Amino acid sequence: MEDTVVSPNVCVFSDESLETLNIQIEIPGVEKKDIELQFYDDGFYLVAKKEGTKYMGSYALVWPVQPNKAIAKYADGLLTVNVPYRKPLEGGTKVKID
Amino acid sequence: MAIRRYPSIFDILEDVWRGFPLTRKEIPEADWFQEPFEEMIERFEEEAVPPEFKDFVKEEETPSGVIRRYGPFVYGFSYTAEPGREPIFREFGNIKPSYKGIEPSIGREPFVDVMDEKDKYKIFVELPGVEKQNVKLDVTEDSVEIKTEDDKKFYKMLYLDSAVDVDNAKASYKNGIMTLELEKKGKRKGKEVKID
Repeated sequence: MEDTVVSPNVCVFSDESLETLNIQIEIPGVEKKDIELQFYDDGFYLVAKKEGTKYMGSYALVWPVQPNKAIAKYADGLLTVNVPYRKPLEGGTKVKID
Repeated sequence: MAIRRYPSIFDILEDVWRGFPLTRKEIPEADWFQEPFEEMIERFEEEAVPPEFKDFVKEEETPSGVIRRYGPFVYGFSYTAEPGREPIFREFGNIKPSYKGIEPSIGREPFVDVMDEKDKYKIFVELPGVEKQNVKLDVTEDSVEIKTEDDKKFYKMLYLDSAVDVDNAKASYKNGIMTLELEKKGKRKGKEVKID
């Protein structure tokens, strides 16, 4: 039987200092190894499988983050991700002058 | 702003619970959502705040006197109807409307699946983010109360159709899902007595 695709309960909020973005995703019943989380600077994508069910979702963010600094934890069916926002002038590319 | 007219969610729920067909009340927009809150806040200003609402009221000392802040109040519900199945009403938020007005809710309603098997009930409860030791279960012959004493508050009272054997209840918890197995109390077990 094909898995039922379900959108998980997701809560995305900033911390009080507006420096870190906190994400809570409820995926009860999923084993840690079956979670696949892709992070981009302006969004994230999640696939988490369990028997008979597949949690899937893609989410856009209002302000870019630094995905390489994301910290993710999983316990008791709740995936928590903390990722710092990108500073306004960060991440520029140096232009070589010919 | 144009005045739109909506029935209040509280009106709808009250009608449903009372068993009346949906009646569309024509209330100007300004009233339909605020009114129950305004009533409640008025009540609090006259009398002392009841202890169960303490978390919703914050008092702040300012030079011009004490300022009271109310809230945040969160309420919502989802309605799922699938062909061949009973429609499901689920509520969430930190308050719940009732016939008495607004009451604080003890916790979010978790997703529960009850499988009624021939000789037992298998109950699955989704409690994501709750640690095992913070799940409190209270099983009686015909009901199950699920409560969490974690940062994430869940509350659900389940009523069972047939009596269960409380002493043989088995529960396990893994990855945020609690599985509860309750054996149904069988028919009276007896032995046939031969008549000499």
